[in-house]
Order: sequence, then structure tokens, then C-alpha cells
Amino acid sequence: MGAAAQTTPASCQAPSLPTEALARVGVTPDEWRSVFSLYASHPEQCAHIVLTPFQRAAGVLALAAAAAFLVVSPKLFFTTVNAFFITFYLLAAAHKMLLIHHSLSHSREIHVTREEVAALRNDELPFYTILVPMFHEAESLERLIRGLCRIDYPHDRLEALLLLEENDPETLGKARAMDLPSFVRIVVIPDSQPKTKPKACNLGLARARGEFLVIYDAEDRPEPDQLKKAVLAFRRCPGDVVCLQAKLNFYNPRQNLLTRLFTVEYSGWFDLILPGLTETDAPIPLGGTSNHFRASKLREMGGWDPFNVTEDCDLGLRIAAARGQTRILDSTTWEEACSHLGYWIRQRSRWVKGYIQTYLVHLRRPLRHLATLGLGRAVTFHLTIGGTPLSMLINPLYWLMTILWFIFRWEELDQLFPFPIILGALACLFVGNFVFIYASVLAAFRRGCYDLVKYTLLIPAYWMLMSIGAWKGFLQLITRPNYWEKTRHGLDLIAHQPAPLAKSAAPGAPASAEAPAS
Amino acid sequence: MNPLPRLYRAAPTPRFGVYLFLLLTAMGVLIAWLHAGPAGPSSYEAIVRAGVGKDLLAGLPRGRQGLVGSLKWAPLPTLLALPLMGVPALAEGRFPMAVAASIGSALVCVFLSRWWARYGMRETIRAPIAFALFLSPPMLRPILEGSSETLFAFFAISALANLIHWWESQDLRGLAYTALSTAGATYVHYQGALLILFALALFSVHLVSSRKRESYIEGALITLLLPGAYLVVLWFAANWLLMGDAFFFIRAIVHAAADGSLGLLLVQSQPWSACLAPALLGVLGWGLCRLAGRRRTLWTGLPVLAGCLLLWTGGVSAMWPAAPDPATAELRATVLPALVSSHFKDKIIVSGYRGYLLRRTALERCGALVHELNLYPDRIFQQTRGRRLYILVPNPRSPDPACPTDAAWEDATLALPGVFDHGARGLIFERAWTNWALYRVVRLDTPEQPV
Repeated sequence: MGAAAQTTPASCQAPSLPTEALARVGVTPDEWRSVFSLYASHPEQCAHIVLTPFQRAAGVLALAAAAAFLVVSPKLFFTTVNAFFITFYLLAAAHKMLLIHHSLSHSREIHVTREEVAALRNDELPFYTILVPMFHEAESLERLIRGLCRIDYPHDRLEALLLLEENDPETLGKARAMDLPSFVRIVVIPDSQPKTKPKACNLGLARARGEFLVIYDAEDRPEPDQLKKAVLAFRRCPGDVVCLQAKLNFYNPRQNLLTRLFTVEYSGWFDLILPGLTETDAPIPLGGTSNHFRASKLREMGGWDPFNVTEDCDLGLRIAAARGQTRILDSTTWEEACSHLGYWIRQRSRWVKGYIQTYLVHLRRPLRHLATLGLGRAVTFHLTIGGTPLSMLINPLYWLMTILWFIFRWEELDQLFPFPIILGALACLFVGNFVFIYASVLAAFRRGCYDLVKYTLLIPAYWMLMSIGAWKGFLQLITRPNYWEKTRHGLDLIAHQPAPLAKSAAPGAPASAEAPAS
Repeated sequence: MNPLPRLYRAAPTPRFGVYLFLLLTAMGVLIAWLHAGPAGPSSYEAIVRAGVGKDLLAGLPRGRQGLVGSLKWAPLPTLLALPLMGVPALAEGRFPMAVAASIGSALVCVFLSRWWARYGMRETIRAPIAFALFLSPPMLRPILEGSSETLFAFFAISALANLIHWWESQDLRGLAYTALSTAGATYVHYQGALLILFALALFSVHLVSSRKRESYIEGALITLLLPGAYLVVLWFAANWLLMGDAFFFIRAIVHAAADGSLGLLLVQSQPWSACLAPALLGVLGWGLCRLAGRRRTLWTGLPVLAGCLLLWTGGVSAMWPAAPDPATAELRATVLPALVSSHFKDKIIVSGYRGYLLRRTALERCGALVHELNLYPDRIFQQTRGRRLYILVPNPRSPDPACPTDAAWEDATLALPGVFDHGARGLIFERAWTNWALYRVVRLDTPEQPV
């Protein structure tokens, strides 16, 4: 964690790159500076370091106090820690119930009807930019181009920027060799650190000409009329709506058990939790793709944090902190569910690492953060952004304690659960777990995946996988904070290919990029 | 200008519901307090649940058994009142249960109020009706006595309303809340399982008539049945863990099925009228709303609702005040003084939940009471060496021979069928009252398991 030793400067220079290196890929110095504009203007909002000196000092003090507490009164220490976690679990379950209730009862999703879309005239449509960051995804190119061509938007008012890395010659070469439609352009990202998706997106933002802008992943299949719906939705919304988040779901939910449970989880997030969050005016952690932005507002905010591995979540929180709004658009983008356990754990570890990273970034000035968001939204922030990784990390501990208690009935464990902690713990065990399982049932049902409802009963096994991913991400935050665990796409294609091709998709294939902090 | 449209608003406002709920609950608690203080006269249910809660908080096995070991005393009301039972000044008597009942009554009134809002009834109209409803005997009596009838009523009405909502709209919310409400009702009174069956029947009719695809039926059935199934499994699991017998709490069902009184078991002691009356109100309002179509005006909604309210309040006023349980009344008036005067140096075993009636009485204070939820005579012999031992058993029959009392499913009757009339091996008749009988336990050469 060498980078963590750095202090946060008042303003920072963009990581330098020789002019020749920029010229080689056709990037101007101004464009390159704009990639790091957030880092230059508000370095305290960037994840280039994990902990600020203040956070580090506070952490050391807290650890010292905890150690002293442990030495003086071990039993009381563990009971207190236990009480804290049980309270957290109770709050998290209650919060989830509240969000689901809101989501089922009301809807602030923006619905646009087919009639409204059909009534749009081409000449009244604004210019729209699509950003598609890609890395080692040559196999997805043809499908991507076909998908882009299917988008129902006049091509003379549309541009699609393929953001390709200079050190990915396979994808770059294949893209250059293809006969690309007129609205599709290639933007080459110079080979530099950090090698992250947000850095590529920032360069795309610098090149974008559209009034509105959206990000899709290479394997995404948005509903064809999504851009038109977004235009109409933006027109309906007040000016402080910076972003519209389309719903995400998977087109290969039935590939295997993992994709089934992943689909259930995604449905819960995008169809229940996010609508619930919008209903309570809470900060919305954006999903990785299908975020539609007002490009000018996004530039004002400095674009994405090029160092953050969940830049989407971070941006959603920055929008809320800047008193902007995010709304949910009732249109779905179909993605590929990661069907390989190894890659799935990698992806999950990046998400969890990014959530913790984002949580720490936004708590660099905790009082200001509280004042900016207000108490209610701050509580939601803690439960959603901080609470999600925390629950995944401590779940195995409580599962183990529960199993040990049922097998051995150790009195030492009983002592950690005095009344009323035991009441809270039992409520968590019997009510909390049910809430989370039933939320999955409702999510699958609401998404219309009726055949997946029965698989939700297996969701506790999926929670265990989430915890494995979470621990991997947490440990990686300490050892390699800016390492980008690339999600491998195209596995659904490979699964339907003959054996030799499937072999090439083995976990050893290049899928990660080391990106030490600059 | 016609002022009527101003009395008329279609959208229910959640904050109004919250304020109304808090106000009604506070009012209920105040009424319960003023009626006879926190430790005033209690219903049998309040005494049992307070006793179970107290044992539970004391960490006694009897408390854990009391929580999960009986169908009749389903755990949810006890759990709701448990935090208050931990407060020493409030733990005794019916007050914690009165608070739980206040919450139940307030929930019923607020829920109906929100249902009425769909007629377009303005808050200024709904609030007085809700207050009137809250002060009607079926809502107030459980508060004063500390019983869980209104909690059950709330879940029953919620289940019904949400089922209707789902039937009309196919909205997931209706399905989910129906499922949760029926499960909640079952955890207040086991008879709530009938609501699950009712919902399932209606649901099946709808699915068959609407010819949904197979995956939808499967998913919807899981969504509907999962909460209830989970709670039932939890109940079995708790009995297995605590009692060593997963089926312990349904012993009464087996017994009732054997002697043909299963139907009675399902309806007995269950205040269906208290649940059905508000449900009827809601359904009538819903029907009216359907009939009125778009003209959901004050003129169609209010008079009928007010009429229903009057009818209901008047109709069930006959139940007020509720007749005291004869067995309990006799126990306090006759049996207890006799036992205290004649047997204060002996040991009197009272098994099952009726034993809670004798807690904190002169019998316990003079050290003569032995209260066990289960009868284990060997253990009692060891504990009471040198003292005469008696067992007090309740009458399992009411004056109407076809109608057993709920003592028919209490532990003593289940463990020793016919004990009230004929005694049992090792028991010698001592004395009988109308609803109670006292037997002396004699030592036997061979140990018995159980008596």
C-alpha cells in the first residue's frame, strides 16, 4: 500500500505521459488533462489513496482504544462488538424492509410509453453519445456492433465511441479491421496507469459531442428505444436530474445455477432496492452501465474518478452530494451474467473493494459529509455503501458461531449474548434472514422470472460466495488497492461453442490489469 | 360554492396514517393505564403471556417452552409485549399485553381508514370514524383485558384486503402482503392457518380461471406460501430444539383428532367475531366502491360505513362486558381460599398454562404451589420429600357436554385422559368443585413415567 503513504495535496497534476505517447494514439494534452480533472481539482474526492492521514490517525486511535478495551475487559469487549454488529444487522434488515415496502407501494421510476416514443420526431432529437469501454473483448465486437445498429435512434444524431486500450492489440486490431458503421468511432486510450474503466470513460467524455451520454458495456443489449426514452425522461425531469439509471438484468439467467442466483440478486437491486432508494431521496449508487447523463453536468462534476474501481457507485454519491438527482428509467439493458465461479468471485471482490474504497473516500470529511447529505440520507449511505460490504464480511463469523452453538452449546458463546442482545440476535436469525430471502423471492417475481423463484431458496449458499468475494476484495484493498479485477465477458458465447473454443476461456486467460496508484 | 368536494380526497396520505396510529396507540395505552393501573385485573391470556414472558426473561426452560410449546399460546403477542415485560414496574399483570392490544386495535383502525381512503374519503371524515371504531367494544375490550384479538384481527383484515387487491390488480404487493399477513395471523393464533388455506383456495380458483402459465403459478404459490411455511417450520424446529420433540406443540391436534373435536379446537377461544366484523366493514366498503364505479363520493361511502359501524358496535355491545371465564372465576373465588386454608403446608401441583393463574397468589406465597408446564412426578417426589402432595386438575368439559373447555387440551388432560372424572394410577380423589378437582398423589413402589 505504498500509495497510501501519500498525503492529499491541495491540487494535483495529471499523471504525466510523454507528448509522443499521447500523439501516438491521437490524444491531445488538453484531453489528457481532462481525464484527471477530478483528481486535479478535488483530489480529496479521488481514490488514489485509500486512507488520508486523518483517517489513518483515527483508525490507529480506534484500534488502540479497542486493544486497550480488549485487555482490560475481554468479555465486555466482545459483547460490545457483538451488540454493535447485531444492531447493525437489525438496522440493515429494517432498512431493507422499508425500501422494499416503498418500492412495492409507490414508484418514482420514469415510465415512457411506446406511444410517446413513436410520437418523437427525428429532427427534435438531441445528439447522443454512447461510450463503450472495452478491454480484451475482441470476441464481443461483432455482437456489439450489431447491437449498436439495432438502437432506435437516428444515426446522424448518434455517436458511439469504442474506448479501446492501446495495449490490447487484439481488440484494437479487430475493431480497425471491421467495417464500422459511420456513427461508430474508435478512441484509443494510451497505455498508462491507472488502467481503469473510468479513466477510459473520462477520455470518452472529453471527446463526446452529445448533449446526452450513456455508457454501455461491450456485451450489453439495451432495449432499442432506450435512448429515446431517456431523452423524453430528461425532458420531463427538473434540471437537477443529472443521471437516469436504466435497469440492468441478464440475458443468460438460465445458463447455470450461478447465473440464476445472480439474476435474482440483480433483480433485487434494480427492481426493488434502487426504486426504494429513489423513493426515499437517498443517494443512488449507480450501476456499471446504462447510466444516461447530461454531458454538461457530468463535465462540471469532473467526470468519473479514474482511480476508483467502482466509479459508478462513487459518481452516484457525488451527484447526491452535489445536490443533483438520479432517477430510475423503466427500460432494461440486458447484460451477460458471469457464469464462471472464479470470474464471478473476482468481479464481486472488485465491487466490494470499490464499495469500501468509495465509503472511505466519502468519509474523509465525515462532518461535512453529514451536513451535505442530512441525517436520513447519511444513514442510508452508511447502511447501503458501508453496510453492504460489512455484512458480507461478518456473515461468515456469525454463521460459524451459530453452527458452533448448535453443535457444542458452548457457554462462552452464551455469555456474548446477554439479554437483550440475544433477542436482537434471534430476530436477526429468524426474521432478518427471512426478510432477505423473501426479498429475493419478490425480486424474481417482480422481474417476471417466475421460474427462478424456487431457486431463491438457495440464496443463502449464494451469500456464502458473496462473503468469499468480499474477503478477497477486502484483503486486496490492503495489498493492491487499485488493482482492477476485469470481468470476463463472452462466457455465454463460449459456453455454446465447440470444446476447443471453450477451453480458451479457462480462468487463466488474461483478464486482469495491474494498476498501481500513480 | 359546494363545500363537499373539499371533504373528499382520493389519495391516502402515509403521514396521516402514522400520526393516527401513534395517537390511537397512545390513547389505548392511556385508557389501559387509567382503567386499573398497570397491574389491574387481567384476562387469562394476559396472565399466561405475562408469566411466560417473565419466565423467558429469567432464562427459565419453562419460559422457552411457554413461548413455543403450545398451539394455543402462539408466540407473536408474547414477543411483542416482551420488551415491556422486562420493565419491573410494568412486568406484572396485563399491562404489556394491553400495550400490544392497543397496537393491534390502532393498526386495525388505521388500516381500515386507509382502505376507506380509496373511496375518496377525506381525512377529516376518516379520522372521527377511526376514533369511533377504536372506542367500540371489540377494539377496546382487548385493550382493557390485555388480549391479542385485535392483533389477529389486523392480520386477518390485512390478508383479506391484500388478497382482494391482488385479485383485482395482480399486483405483487397484494400477493406478498397477503402471504405475510396470513403468516402473521398464524403466529398470533394458530387458527390463522385457516386464513392461509382460504387465501390458497381463492388463489387457486383465480389461477385456474385465468389460465396462467405454469411457471407463474409455481412462482406465485411459493410467494404466497413461503412466509407461512417458514413460520411453521420454525415452530417445529423450535420445538425440536427446546422440547426434543418437533411435534410437541401440536399434541392437542392429535388428541382432538382422536376424539373427534378437531373442529372445536379450530374455533374455540378464537374471537372470530372481533376479526370478522371489521373485515366485513372493509369488504362492504370495497363492494360499495366497486358498485359506485367512478362515483366514489361521500354520499355513497360514508352513510353505509357509518351504518356498518353502528350496526357492528351495537351488535357486539352485547358482548360487553365479557363474561369472565367460569373456571378462572371459581378458582379465585372458591378454590384458592380453600387450598390456602387447608393445604398451606402441602404441595399442590398445577400443570400446564393454568398454573400461571396461581402465580403471585397466597398459594405461591405460602410455598405450596408447584407449577410445571409438564408433569414429571418422580422429580416432584424428590423435591417434596416429607410433604403431602396434591394435583389440581381442570374440568375439560363445559356444562354443555358437546362443548369441551380449552382445558381439554391442557397438559394434565393430555397426559392423563379422564383424570378429572376418574383420577389415575397413584391419585386418590380428595375434593371437587365445578371446574376443578383435587387429587392426592400417593407414592408407588414402582416409579411411573409420567403420572
